[in-house]
Amino acid sequence: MREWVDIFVLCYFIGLNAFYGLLIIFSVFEIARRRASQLPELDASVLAERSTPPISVIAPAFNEEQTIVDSVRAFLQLEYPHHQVLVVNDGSTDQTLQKLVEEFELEKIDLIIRREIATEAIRAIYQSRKDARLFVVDKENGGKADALNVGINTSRFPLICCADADTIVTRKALLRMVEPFLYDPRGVVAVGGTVRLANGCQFRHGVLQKVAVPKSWLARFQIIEYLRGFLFGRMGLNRLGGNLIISGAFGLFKREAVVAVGGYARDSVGEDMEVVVKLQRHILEEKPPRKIIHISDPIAYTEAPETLELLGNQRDRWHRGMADTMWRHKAMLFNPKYGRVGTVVYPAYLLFELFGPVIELFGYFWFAAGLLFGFVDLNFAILFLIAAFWLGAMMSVQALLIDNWGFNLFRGARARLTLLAAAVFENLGYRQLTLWFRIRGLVKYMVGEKSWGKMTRKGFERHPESDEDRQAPQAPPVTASGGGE
Amino acid sequence: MFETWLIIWQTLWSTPLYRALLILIALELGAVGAMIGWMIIQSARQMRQARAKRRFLEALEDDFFSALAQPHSDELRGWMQRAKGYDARLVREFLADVMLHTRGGSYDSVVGLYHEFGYAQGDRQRSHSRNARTRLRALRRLYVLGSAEDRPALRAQANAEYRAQVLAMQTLARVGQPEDIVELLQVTRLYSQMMEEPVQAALSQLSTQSLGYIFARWQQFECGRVRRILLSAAARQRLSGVDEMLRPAAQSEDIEVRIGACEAAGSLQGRASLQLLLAALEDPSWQVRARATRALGRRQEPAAAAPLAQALKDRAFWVRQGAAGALGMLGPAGAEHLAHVAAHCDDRYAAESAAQELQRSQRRLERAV
Amino acid sequence: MKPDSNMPSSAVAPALSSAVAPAFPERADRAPLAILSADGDAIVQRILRAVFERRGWFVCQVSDGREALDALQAERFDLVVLDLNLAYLNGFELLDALGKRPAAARPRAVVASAQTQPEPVLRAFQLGADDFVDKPLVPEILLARIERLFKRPGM
Repeated sequence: MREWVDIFVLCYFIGLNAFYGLLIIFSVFEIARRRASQLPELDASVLAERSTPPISVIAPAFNEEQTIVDSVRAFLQLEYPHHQVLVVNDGSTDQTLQKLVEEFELEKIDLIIRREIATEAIRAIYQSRKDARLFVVDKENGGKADALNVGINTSRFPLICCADADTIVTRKALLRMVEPFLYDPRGVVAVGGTVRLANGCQFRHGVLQKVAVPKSWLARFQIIEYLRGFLFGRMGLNRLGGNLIISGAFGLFKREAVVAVGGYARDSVGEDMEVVVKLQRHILEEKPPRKIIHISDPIAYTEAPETLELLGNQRDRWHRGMADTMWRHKAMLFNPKYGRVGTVVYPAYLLFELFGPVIELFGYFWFAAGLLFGFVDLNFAILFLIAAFWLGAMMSVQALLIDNWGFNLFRGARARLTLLAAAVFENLGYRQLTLWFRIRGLVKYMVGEKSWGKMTRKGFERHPESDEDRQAPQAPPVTASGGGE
Repeated sequence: MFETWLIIWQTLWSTPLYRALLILIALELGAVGAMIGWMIIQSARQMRQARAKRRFLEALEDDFFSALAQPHSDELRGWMQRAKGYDARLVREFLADVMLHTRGGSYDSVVGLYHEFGYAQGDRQRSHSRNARTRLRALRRLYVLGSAEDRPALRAQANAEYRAQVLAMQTLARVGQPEDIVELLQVTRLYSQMMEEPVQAALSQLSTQSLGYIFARWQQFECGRVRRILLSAAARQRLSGVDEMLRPAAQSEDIEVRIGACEAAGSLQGRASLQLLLAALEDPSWQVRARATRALGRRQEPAAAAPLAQALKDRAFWVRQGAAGALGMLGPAGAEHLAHVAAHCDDRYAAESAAQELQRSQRRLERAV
Repeated sequence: MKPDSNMPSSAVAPALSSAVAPAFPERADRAPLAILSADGDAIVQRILRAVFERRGWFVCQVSDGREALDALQAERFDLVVLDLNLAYLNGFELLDALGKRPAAARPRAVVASAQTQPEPVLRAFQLGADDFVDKPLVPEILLARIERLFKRPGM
């Protein structure tokens, strides 16, 4: 009996690392291919042509009076021939709207909105006299998903870009992200880009000046984690079958597709993952299916939490979002109708990402208990140490090396060695810490399930997210609003 | 110490189950180790290349730019001679990066030298490569530095993947002849409006004569969207033959071609095209009707005011919006119709569209003052 | 399987080894023309610098709108060559700021931009630009237009 548990734990770790390894290999090919697919030489003609598809950048904002003006200005300065910025003020209780009105000389206008997606009431729509591309929609509070839906209803452009007001976006982001729509003959429905960590980097007026390794170890571990899980996970999944998530910080979607799947789900915790899974289902039901693509370029930078509490809340929320989404779309599991996404990607996510923390934690406890109570099998112990720690460390190191090869952002021996150390030690403590946060999220989701129902029936006004998300104003810049990466 | 490990090893190996797991783990370790080793080699290679590039730039960059500023001297030729001593890849990439941003006398000299020194030939060869990345990189360089000499290699891209076709078409719009574009357009299949931008960009670079040549071969293009784009471009440039094409186009089965007929009619003058647009307001597809309203707006014909006011009551949102916008462009006659509809119409959607358009025109006037 | 190591759009891995000219270099008092060049693209700046310096003109280069304003405060320039797509303060806003200065201290402004649609061109002229050139730059044309603006003998 003991032996079977041993075997099970070992097999899990071997499988987990094999899956990551596979993704990393695929991501190498995919990064090379994405690089080749970029045509920056044609940027000038994309900028000059009238036929370049226009984009609506939708930025939901809730109580962001400190940073809203800078963010909006940054969005207005994106290099693109024809884009507009739709700020959706989600019933802010502070001076967010007033600051916008002052800074951009907003005036009220009448605009006919087709309510293709049901949302909370809109109070007013403003347009800027200074820059006619800026519109601000003032509405009743309803949460980030609802704000995005209002933005989608208001927009009349074929492409919508759903952005977070507090991410730093590179100026050519839209040019790079629109390329698959222009040049991919298979038909593209959504494009995601790479979000990298802003910690330790220097920015000036929103333009990246210098990349450096942050001082805090927590941030360093997160860099490695982002590389392994997010950058390579997503690029690898491009190849493996399809992605289940596009970062909520900056994603470009075809408007009609998002409307066709019903927009963002208001009652979901991880609305950014939920909308992408819905889109995958939608496109996989057509033959031949269109695509959801990730490009390898860094297009946005976001601040990672540097305190344990914030980190915990963030991971907690991401995991709840994932659990919620995967439960809603459980019909995709092992369903050949959805191709490789249903048969390979979804089960893998379920096993390794959703329930993974549980099995892993169990494995650690089993090992520790065995050591403590003396019933450990030596063979198991050795193999476990190798599989859980050594393999994991090698995976992280590999991810770091690929990042170095592919993007070469961190220069200098010292930076590289620091990150190497972070890669090795990430598996000895940090990873286990995130396991704990993720399990907490999972438990919260399972328990919260019942009380969630009560809230919906009452027709709640404030989205429960909004209170939790927005920490005290003294908290460091970004509290990574709503939804995972 | 060593004996302990040996014993452990033997125990592990003896149990079949653990043996299997051990093999699996060893395989994984091996695979990851190999990848890490490969990555380290690649990184080392990359650093070597970066160093070579830095050396190249330190030696040659400044001289290049000062030579560039003097287009008609022999400095550029001298520079190219010196550059022969360096890796051809570095030279090619450097030239492509810089010459993307400039035209004129110095550009022409560089292009000539690029071909003379054999770099273009290398790119032509690479454009036939089986490796997609090599092909695309070569085509991107040819886009910047190609000349008429490269036409055959570019035409051959009609058999390659879509991005290669796009690059080739854009390059040929600059350096090729209209028959090259025809060949590429014949194989172009556009599945969505977003994909049209490269074709539009290529056509906008052509002279009226070249466009006329391509337009005369309208029938050869199977893709409805390509036909539509050609038709509207031809109408904008007032090419001969557009009027004859309009009637059959307006009755085509392909919705894109009908839309193209509306767009084209919007750029023309005369009764025939106006009739066509008014008839298109009754088309079964809303996209055609919407395009017709916008075209009527561009033409600013007072005779269209009444039919447009009718179109305000259309079921489709974009038709209503287009009609309102068109009436807004008609000046006082249109404003009168709008006001009438806004005040008296019992169709709420029509009234709203009219009111919104009135407000928008008002704001436009205010801003202009 | 090597990626492109020079991507012109990357701020962190530039295609050129030399950075743009330092912000406020010494101005030779005899230089016939003092030009402020505002463009975010390093290669375009390099080309402009070579072209202008070959003519013996003094060039100061900045990469965004706010730096341009700072430079204008610090020095007197005869001409500003700007792109429309600047960071922090875009070309239109810069033109607006230039227009607000008194006529004596106002440098001429030439806009160089890839956006060749009528709207941006019209707007640039409405905001007071003296000329508009397309990108990719044709150095001969740019020089000819600048000379026409400053029709003075012996240049």
